[in-house]
Amino acid sequence: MADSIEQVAPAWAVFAPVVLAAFALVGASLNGALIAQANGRPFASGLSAPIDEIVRLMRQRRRTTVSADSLLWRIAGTGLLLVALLMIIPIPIGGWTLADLSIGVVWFNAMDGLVWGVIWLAGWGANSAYSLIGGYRFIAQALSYELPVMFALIAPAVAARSLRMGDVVAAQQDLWFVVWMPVAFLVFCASVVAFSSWGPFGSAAGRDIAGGVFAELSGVDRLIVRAGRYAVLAAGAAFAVAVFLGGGAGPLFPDWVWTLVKTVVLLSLFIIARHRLPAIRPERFAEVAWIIVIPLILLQVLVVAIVMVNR
Amino acid sequence: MDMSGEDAGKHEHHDGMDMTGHEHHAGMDMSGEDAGKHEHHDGMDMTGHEHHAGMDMSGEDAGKHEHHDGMDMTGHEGHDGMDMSGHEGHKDMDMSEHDAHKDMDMSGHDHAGMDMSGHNHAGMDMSGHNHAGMDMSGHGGMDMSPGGIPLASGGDDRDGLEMDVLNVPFGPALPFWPAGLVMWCVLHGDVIAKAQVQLLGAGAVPPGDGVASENSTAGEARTRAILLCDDAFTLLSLAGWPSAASAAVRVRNELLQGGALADAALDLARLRRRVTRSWLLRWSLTGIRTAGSSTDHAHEATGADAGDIRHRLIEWLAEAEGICQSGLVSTSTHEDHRQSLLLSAIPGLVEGMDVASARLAIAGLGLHTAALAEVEVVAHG
Amino acid sequence: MSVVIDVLFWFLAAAAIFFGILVFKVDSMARATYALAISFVAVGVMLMIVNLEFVGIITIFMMVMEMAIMGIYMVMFMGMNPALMPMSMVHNRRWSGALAIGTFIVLAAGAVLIPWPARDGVPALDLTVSLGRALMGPKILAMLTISPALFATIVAALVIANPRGRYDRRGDDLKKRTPADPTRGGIGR
Repeated sequence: MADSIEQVAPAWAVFAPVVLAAFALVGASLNGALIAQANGRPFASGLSAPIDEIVRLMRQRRRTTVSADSLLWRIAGTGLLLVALLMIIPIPIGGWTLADLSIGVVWFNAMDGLVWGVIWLAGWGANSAYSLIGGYRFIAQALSYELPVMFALIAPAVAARSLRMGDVVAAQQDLWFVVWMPVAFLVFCASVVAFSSWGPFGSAAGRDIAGGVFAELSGVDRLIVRAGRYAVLAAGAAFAVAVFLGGGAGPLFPDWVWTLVKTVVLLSLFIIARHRLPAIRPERFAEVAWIIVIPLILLQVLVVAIVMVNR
Repeated sequence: MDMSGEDAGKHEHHDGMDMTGHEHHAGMDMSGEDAGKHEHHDGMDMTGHEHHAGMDMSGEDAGKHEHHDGMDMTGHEGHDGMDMSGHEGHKDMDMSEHDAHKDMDMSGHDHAGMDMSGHNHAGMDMSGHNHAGMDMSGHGGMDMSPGGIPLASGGDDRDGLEMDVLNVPFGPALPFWPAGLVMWCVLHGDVIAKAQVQLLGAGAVPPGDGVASENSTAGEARTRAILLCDDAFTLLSLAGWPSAASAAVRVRNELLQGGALADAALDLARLRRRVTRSWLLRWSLTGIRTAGSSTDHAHEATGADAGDIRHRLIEWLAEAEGICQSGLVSTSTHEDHRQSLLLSAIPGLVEGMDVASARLAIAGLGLHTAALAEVEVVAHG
Repeated sequence: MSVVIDVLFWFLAAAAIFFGILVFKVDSMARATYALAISFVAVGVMLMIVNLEFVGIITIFMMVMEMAIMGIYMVMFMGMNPALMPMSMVHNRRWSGALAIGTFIVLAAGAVLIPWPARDGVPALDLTVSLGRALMGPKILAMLTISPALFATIVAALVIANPRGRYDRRGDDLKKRTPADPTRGGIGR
């Protein structure tokens, strides 16, 4: 694994949305297949579910609600996908990255702060009780996971003595960070699932409120928001690979292959989590996050800091 | 939609339900990540409220839903004949503007009460609804009803904050909701301040307790097991656990189609073990209390005993498993009485709860409204 | 390249001012809040352009989260406007306008008219570190200690402001096992 990350020419930026879309499709296919399996149909029959959904939603009539705040609503709708695209900018695939930002780690954190605004606006814009409840549930949950994830991202930054993604990946040459920062890794993965409103943290899009934030979306808006949800999950998985799972490190194959493989594996784990675990209620999660998780993650950061001071 | 018996004049086009001039919810969204079975349709919203209840049926998890999701027809009086149980197999309904009501069996429907004159919602008679609390004063010169919807007034909520008051009806047809039950809520944010329930009358009582089953001799045991699986499915879906819910609904579907009781017993045993072992479900469902006792001690409806939802769920699964294994069911002669008592317990139960907990609590009651539907019950809270 | 940066800088400056003004012009609480958020984001991007990337990105991060929370409070306290009715965000129009414009002119004049010293040498490799040193000097440790103290103050203030105290939750002798909360907390304490 090269020590330096090479920043590719901007023309390659065209590939980023394609790769992201591919990952999102993989995630959605896996989800569809798992649903098919849970319903007693063969696993493979569900793999085409996202394609069916795309076709269906593309031809579906767009509808809106009375006095919906269309400007904010549509901005929020496209916002999720845009945030996902912004998130992947500093992430290295193998030795290449779109932008070798000096603040790569914090960049991701900032982008997941943008998701707060996007999801709340999506809930607000629809002028519907259910979607508003969904938006507020998201913020309530976000207040719980945000501090832990901020601390969780400090740990690898301290260990690499840098915020640059290339340095973080290079610092894992001997030992992947997931090995000695497991708490940070778990907290980070949980927060990726949470800001995607997915699975156990999916109460903002919960079926008990008619889909919550997604309740009033239809047609192409719905497609973009749901694609954005999978894209954000994929971006989070890719970032976790770079920051905790050693980036492209691995035997035999070139590093970009390993990066992609690890990302797919982690993304699959996120997708599967939805089916194995029941949903968490945000009001109950708040106490757990503030009273149990924050001290644990602070201890983790302390351990990392002590180790680095003594190196 | 077969509108036999309808007065065609009142239903020219689907637009009739759609306030002309408003961009309104005409459409139905059938997002099913499960592309194969679009059997639920949603989103026929016909309210004039600023909030649209129950729209989305994201059937990320299909299976056969026998209840119509999201047909929220509040504001209409005289909704006789919304018989929603026993429906199977509604195809993918993408209701574009000019599609009339196809495929929806609304036999016995009476839309006489619908007054859809233009933008004026004053004409809509909201039975059981209370607009008295709306304060429209202040802010002189401004249009107090943008889009025809009056602004929300304020009111103190459970925690002493002054919050906007939303009047949201939880309609007669929602996913994971007792069919035909309407709960008129006064919401502060997502906390229910007051609730009032009404059970809409049914046009005809379906045979076999709402379970359409050709095999009447297999009878009570199978019916009871199907109903219990349905209740478990509802509760698990509301708890946000799609795969366990799918397992429950698969058992139910197989029983409905005449599958072997022994197989069902095995599946139910597995599901029950899975649910019992899940610590996350236990933690998530803690603290929601529901009314009524378990089905085994069916003689009093409102007891101070364990109203814990998870406990109730496991009992249902255990009872269904027992029925499937033994083929016998312990009938309760007080079932109807107990159910109507549960119905009247709902307003007191949900007051002060937030929407999520309230829906879980109501699902935990195990209401089977088809049998009750003949008697239209109105309870105030 | 520097032409592009110049144009971008001025564009962002104009955007920041425009969206700031928009806060007072729009008809909805949510729009006002997020117009302010965009204004802050523009400022953050400007900071990133002048190579203060960390400060810029943190500005964006913090401000968007704060605006999200502020939006909730605005809706809560002046909630009647989900419907894009014309509303007025300003009070005491004349004096506040005069004060705002006056402050802007003073600060802008300062930024433009002060004779800034010419650059002496090359900028440090890590601008954030050198900026921190320049601003806080030898008092960095004190600053680091103050920040958790501030946080503890905020938490303490919230606890004190909570109308339901320990005695409400646990009874007069603090002996109740499960606290009497409207919604049971996650760890049951």
